[in-house]
Amino acid sequence: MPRERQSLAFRALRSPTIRRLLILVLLIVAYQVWLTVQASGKVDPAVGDERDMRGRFSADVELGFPPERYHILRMQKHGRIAGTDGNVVHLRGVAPAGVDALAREYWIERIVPPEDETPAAR
Amino acid sequence: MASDTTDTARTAKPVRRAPAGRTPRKGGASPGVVRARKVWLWLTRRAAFRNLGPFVPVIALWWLVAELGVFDEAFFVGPPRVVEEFGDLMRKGILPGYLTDSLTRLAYGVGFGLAIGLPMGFVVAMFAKVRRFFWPILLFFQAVADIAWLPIVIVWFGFSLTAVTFVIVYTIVFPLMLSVVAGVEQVPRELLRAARSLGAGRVRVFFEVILPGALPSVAGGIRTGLGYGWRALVAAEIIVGTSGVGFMMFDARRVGDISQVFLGMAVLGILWYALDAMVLAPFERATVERWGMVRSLEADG
Repeated sequence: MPRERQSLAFRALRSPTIRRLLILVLLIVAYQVWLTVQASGKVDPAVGDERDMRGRFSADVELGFPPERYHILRMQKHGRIAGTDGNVVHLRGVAPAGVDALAREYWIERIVPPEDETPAAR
Repeated sequence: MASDTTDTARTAKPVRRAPAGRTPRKGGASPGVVRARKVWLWLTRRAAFRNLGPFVPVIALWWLVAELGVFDEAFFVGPPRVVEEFGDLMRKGILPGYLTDSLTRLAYGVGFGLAIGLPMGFVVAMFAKVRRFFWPILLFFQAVADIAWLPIVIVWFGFSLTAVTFVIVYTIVFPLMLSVVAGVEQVPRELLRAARSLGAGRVRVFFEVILPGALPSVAGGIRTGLGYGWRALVAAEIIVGTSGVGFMMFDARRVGDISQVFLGMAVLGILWYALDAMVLAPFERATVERWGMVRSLEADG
């Protein structure tokens, strides 16, 4: 019985379609792993030091280029846009999970605490 | 004598003869021509050449028209500009992001479309009363284009994933159901009667006779339905979406960046070609070879 199962698996692996699909799955997994690896070290340790009553905080998101509509819409899912300054987007009311999600976006270079953070700015 | 001739014919190497009406040139073809012919034969045996080769003249023509400046660059861009745009959108994460959104929507639409269309198709095909009731409805909705649903879908579901999924599901379900019905109709009645006379119950007849017999047509229906769904996705994204490849192309028109429209078309075509070549065509081929061949042999016998 186990021998039959093995032969079925081997037969499946010999199929070019299954092999191509496996390669595709491997590529997707590799891409996801790469996203996780490149996310590490992107968030400044000081991000989230000053939180509001709901545990949310401000952050400056730095890109390698001026942000476009797509980037603003993506960042809006994780916080309020308080303006842009060159390649930097000022975000307010960001949750810790939002920072993690943003760090996985490979087009974001750094996430740092805002330079002139005041209670009013938050 | 006759046997000698046959043996000689079997053992002798095949001799290439000149085509009828032509006399072979003295000394045969030049070495250059022979080499070129060998290279051509070698190339035509490669799957990559067979798959990608037909695109070479198309791209060359596109490049030529762009280089000659037949149309203004604001309306028509060449391959280098599109490749440059591809690199830029990849660097900025826009293309992968939109592509992920489109493929996620397609996956939802296809999943629901198959889950609804396949069982409903078999029910309509196998039960006469259900079929009599549903057939006019099926033909009616087959004629109503997916895009015609968009205005009401936006009212019902807003500019959401649900609206796009609804349109894709609608587009897939009806062609799939019609293919399933056609497939079940093609199953030879003798096979059904034979299975029943051998004591097979309804469930066994379905899984061992009707389902395999209908598979070639079902595979064709899935391929067609998914093709329609892919087109519907782009149409829905253009009108409903706030992201996706269709939205990217429409948004590019707004800012007058025609290269993104060309890039979107290229990406859609390449993705569909890859999906069809990798999964759908082999699946259809396999089912036709396995079950279609069995059926035709039985019909011949």
